[in-house]
Amino acid sequence: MSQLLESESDAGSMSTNIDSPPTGSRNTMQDELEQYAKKLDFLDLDGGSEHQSELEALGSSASIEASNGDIKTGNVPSHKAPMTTSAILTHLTPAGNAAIEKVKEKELKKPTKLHIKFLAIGSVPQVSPQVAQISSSQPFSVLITFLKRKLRLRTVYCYVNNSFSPAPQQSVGDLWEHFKVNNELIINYCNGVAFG
Amino acid sequence: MSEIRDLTWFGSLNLTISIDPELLLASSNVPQGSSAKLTSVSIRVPRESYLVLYLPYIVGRFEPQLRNNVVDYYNGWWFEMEGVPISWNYPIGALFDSLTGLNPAIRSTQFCDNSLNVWNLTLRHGTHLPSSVIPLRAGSEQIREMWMHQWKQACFVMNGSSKLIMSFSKSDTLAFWDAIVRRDLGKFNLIRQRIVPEASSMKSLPLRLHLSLPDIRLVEPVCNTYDNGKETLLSDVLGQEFPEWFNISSVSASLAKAVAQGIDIPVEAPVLALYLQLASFDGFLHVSLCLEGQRES
Repeated sequence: MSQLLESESDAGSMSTNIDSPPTGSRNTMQDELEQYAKKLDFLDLDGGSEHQSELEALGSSASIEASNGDIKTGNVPSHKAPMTTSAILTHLTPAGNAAIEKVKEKELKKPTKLHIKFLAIGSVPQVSPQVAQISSSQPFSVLITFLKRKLRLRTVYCYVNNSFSPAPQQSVGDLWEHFKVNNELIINYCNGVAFG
Repeated sequence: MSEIRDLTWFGSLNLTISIDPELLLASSNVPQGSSAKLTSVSIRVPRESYLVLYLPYIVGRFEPQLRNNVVDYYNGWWFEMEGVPISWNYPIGALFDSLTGLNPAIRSTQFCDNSLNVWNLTLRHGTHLPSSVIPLRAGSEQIREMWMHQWKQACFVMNGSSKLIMSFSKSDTLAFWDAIVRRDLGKFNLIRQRIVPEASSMKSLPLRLHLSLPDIRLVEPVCNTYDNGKETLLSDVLGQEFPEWFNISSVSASLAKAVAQGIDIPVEAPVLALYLQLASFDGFLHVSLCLEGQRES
């Protein structure tokens, strides 16, 4: 951090926007307004959510209850790209457009259900049932939220295979593919730091 | 090869951080003596670092003009690009590459000798964080721990367990982080090479794919180092994960580009070679997928 190069600008130069790419002429004002409206809706939803504790925020769209080991979740939260970045969508090649549609369709397909095994570390109660099912597209944070609600704990520390805590945005499906043991993703949990 | 690793480590980005005007004092209340209101701060940061590590500095610069006293230089603050909140737990360079979706070839023709490439961000503050931002309750210590867990995960992928890192002494662990904060590449490499195994015994590769379109997403595919005795190519992985965009049989027919460390990387290269040269300071090779538009082709 010692190499920090700095300069400052005052109010006058705020409007200099060197980085903005030329705006496509095909991007009509109406398109832009619509995108803005969508973005506002999205932000509003987030702001209105209940008070979140650590990491829980990332799985905020998931309302969780476990009946017979099936972790019920809401939609996977989706995050839109910045406007100047998504501007490229207006001038893709026909093949590019078709590809984007295919990717979107793929996301809508029903994700597969995976098995998760919860193992308590130390004095924390064991959650029941021990093996639960969750859809592969959910972020890891949903599991943390699930344990917190189920065990009525304020904080839960979760580890994969007694080793590491993954980034909360990571999909459960990716983790399962990488680290499953006998087709189960093993989550060890604790109410304090177990592996620093 | 070490030359490329040096370039990767010293890569930097210019940022201009504007402050959310809501957070500022009304102009009549600006302390006497300060002539103009400071509404943005420009800094150059390493691509291989976390944005939030610079929060105390950035918030400190704005502090005299803020409406409320600063209680915590980390908690409650976050960055946005055009209203889109930025998840801080990825390297700054990977965030820039994926969020701007810039094609490096076009970028270099757009920015010539006497212009600077600047990433414009907004600093915001509030009690409710956007859902994609991890709350920072324990400041820099939390950043260090999160980073260490990323390394443990990468270590697990490469070696089949995290034991190598878990057996580090406390002083090794702290020295490793210290190398990031003080930008000491030599010290960093010394510890890194204890985690990254010999190429021949590397099980899988820690690879992360960042997408911005159709929405912001992270994909971490399983990428075995070798497939039937042959090194896995990036095009193998991309063709399997995103057959819509990457054509395995003909690279020129691909509709997207793979970008790592700000450069357009050849998809026909083995992932192992790319990992060894371009992997980030968190143990992962971050690849951003950038769509190609009509004008560019």
